[in-house]
Amino acid sequence: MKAALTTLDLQKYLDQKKKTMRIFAHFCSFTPEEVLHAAGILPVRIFGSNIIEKASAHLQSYCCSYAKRVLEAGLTNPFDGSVFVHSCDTMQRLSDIWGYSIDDGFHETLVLPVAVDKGIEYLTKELNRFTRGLEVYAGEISDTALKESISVYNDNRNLLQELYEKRKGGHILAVVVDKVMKASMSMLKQEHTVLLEEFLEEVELGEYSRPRLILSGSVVEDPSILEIIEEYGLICYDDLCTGSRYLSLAEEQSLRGIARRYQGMWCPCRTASAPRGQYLVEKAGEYDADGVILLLHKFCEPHLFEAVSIRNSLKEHGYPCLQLELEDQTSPEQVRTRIQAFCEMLEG
Amino acid sequence: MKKLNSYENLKKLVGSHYMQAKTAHFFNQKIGWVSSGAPVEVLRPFDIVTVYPENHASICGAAKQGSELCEAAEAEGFSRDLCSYFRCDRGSTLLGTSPIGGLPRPDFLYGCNNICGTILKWYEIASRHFDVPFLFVDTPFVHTTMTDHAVEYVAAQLEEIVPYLESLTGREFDEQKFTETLELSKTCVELWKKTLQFGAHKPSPLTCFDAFTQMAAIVSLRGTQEAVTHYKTLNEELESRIQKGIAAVDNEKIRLLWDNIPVWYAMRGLSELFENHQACLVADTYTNAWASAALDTGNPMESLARNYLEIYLNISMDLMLERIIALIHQFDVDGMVMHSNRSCKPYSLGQYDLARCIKEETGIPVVIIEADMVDSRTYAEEQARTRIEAFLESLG
Ligand code: SF4
Ligand code: SF4
Repeated sequence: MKAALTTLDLQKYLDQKKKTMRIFAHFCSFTPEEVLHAAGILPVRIFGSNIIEKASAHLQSYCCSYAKRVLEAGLTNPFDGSVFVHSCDTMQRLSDIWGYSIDDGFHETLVLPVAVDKGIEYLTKELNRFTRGLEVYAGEISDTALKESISVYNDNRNLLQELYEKRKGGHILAVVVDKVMKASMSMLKQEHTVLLEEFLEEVELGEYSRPRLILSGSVVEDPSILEIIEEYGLICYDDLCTGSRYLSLAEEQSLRGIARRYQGMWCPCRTASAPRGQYLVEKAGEYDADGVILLLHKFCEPHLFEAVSIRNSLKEHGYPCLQLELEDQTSPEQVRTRIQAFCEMLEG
Repeated sequence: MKKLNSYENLKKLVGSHYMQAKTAHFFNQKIGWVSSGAPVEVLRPFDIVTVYPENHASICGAAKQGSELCEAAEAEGFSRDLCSYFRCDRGSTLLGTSPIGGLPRPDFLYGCNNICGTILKWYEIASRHFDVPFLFVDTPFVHTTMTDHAVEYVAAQLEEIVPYLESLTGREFDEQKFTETLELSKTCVELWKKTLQFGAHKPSPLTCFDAFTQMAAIVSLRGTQEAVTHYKTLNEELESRIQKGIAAVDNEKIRLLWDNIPVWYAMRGLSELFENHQACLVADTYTNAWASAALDTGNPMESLARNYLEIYLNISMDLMLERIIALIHQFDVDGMVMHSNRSCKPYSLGQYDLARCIKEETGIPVVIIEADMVDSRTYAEEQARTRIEAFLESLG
């Protein structure tokens, strides 16, 4: 398979883009990227690297590795601006800390409601505040431009949904999906769409074999864990911020439409009408999965809180579940042994 | 530490509060579990008995049962890295034990994320466990400025809770009682503010360790007559200490500001350590979190919304810094002690940068100690001691 998207050097691409566009860092699936796009800014989702030096002067040891990574990235190579959302307690404080230690041209936090359903009115107004604030920095953002951008994002997300549909029939390597998704979160949307169309035409589906796994968690910064998992089983679906959490569409082309879009997103930082385990049980049925791997960050409270009830409901429905808690220091060998044992058990 | 006479009073008050909670169902009263930052005033007119899992967890911590209860939650699968108030509460629910024999079963839960996102998860879990409703008030974080749409949003949610409470209790909402509650709450906060302000006197008649104990009533009994009466007596006692020249710490030489939730299981050891160096912790950011309320009985829901939006853990670091600097000046302190509390991220993350800014803007030194509020297993006592001693020696 030679689709350009699979061989893309994202860093190189961004280095090129930097010369012509302003680049803003963002950190969560709830970022209103469409608004930034409409303002002519390129939103790039940051994953950082596992070498933490400067960030340790700002964050305690008991802070999750994702926050440390992105702060390190910001301290090392400042962006033109940064957009935080009130995702969890840690990211909210990180927004403050970022503001205290990094001098970028634009720094703002979209204060999300925790209860998106009852907070739609509030959120629409908050998105409006955010947009008006951005205009001060970037110039007017017209309704037409916003509509345009929303449909550019919808087109792309429609195609991404197609990608996930395809995963039902045969296998696409998880590292490839990861690459497509992360590129989508960082490239200029219309450019990604072109590559994605080509990719979808050319992608060859691998054999449909067992054990079939669902991977659930927040962000997967480092794709090497995906390779390790797929040595023993196939990831047929993911419930990740770097994956399916990105797929939902904005049905109305307005700020309210963006707000509504967030209703469809399954995130443990928001109120839940039903326990998340039920969602995974449904997906396991839909994707014909044999088991679930919960991939958690040490110190990530929202996900760690949910883990117990997720494991219980999966168990109730006969889906085995393996919980991996990753820290950047965890030895890959230990992880590998556990994944191997889990998959062997599934093959039984 | 010289014990305040009001300590016995408080013990009785808290004791009878929990006693009342335990017998509530017998008297056909409804029980609500309430988070410390939730606008409890809305519940009071319905004669609902309220208990505070956070306060309960602190009692477990002070009785040194914290680690054991945390372990029970861990055995159920909850990570050791989750908030130890939650783990303590969960453990107590599972084992049915605590220094007061566990909390009574709730009829509903009432929580607010203005202290943390943890509350949401914690109460969701409790709500499933007891199979009771969870009334959640969503309070958007105040990132530098409080927005009108946030105020509207919170006020609207409070309005919506009223009919629910009416059907739960079978009582009608009594406006007059509500106004009385608001008045009591306001008076209570004013009295509490006064209590804390005694610390500005030199030498101070109280330390923040007294405040940590005495705060139980402002947290759990806000909006009641008992709390008002209690703080009146406490303030009289403090007044008379000042008149008689009684200091909380003999020969007070060093005045300090404390940041974060107390290390409940180590209160005695820490207070002796400071006392031995003639150092008095005259104020803290924690108990001051309950010392502001500009309630407007003419516009109750909106003013509750405003007050509960800007509580200390729901504001950004620039606003926290402003309040810290105000405390530093108001209490004329020589240094600041920060408890880096691994359980509580909204309180602790950011302390490194705050410490730097405090030093730059006020010139006062800051020491940071690593601990946890109720889980003593993560506390390196010797290390904390050494750090504090070195800090005090440099000040003295
Ligand atoms: S877990 Fe939720 S809040 Fe965190 S990055 Fe993912 S979508 Fe955003
Ligand atoms: S200690 Fe912190 S994290 Fe825990 S409930 Fe209190 S405010 Fe929330």
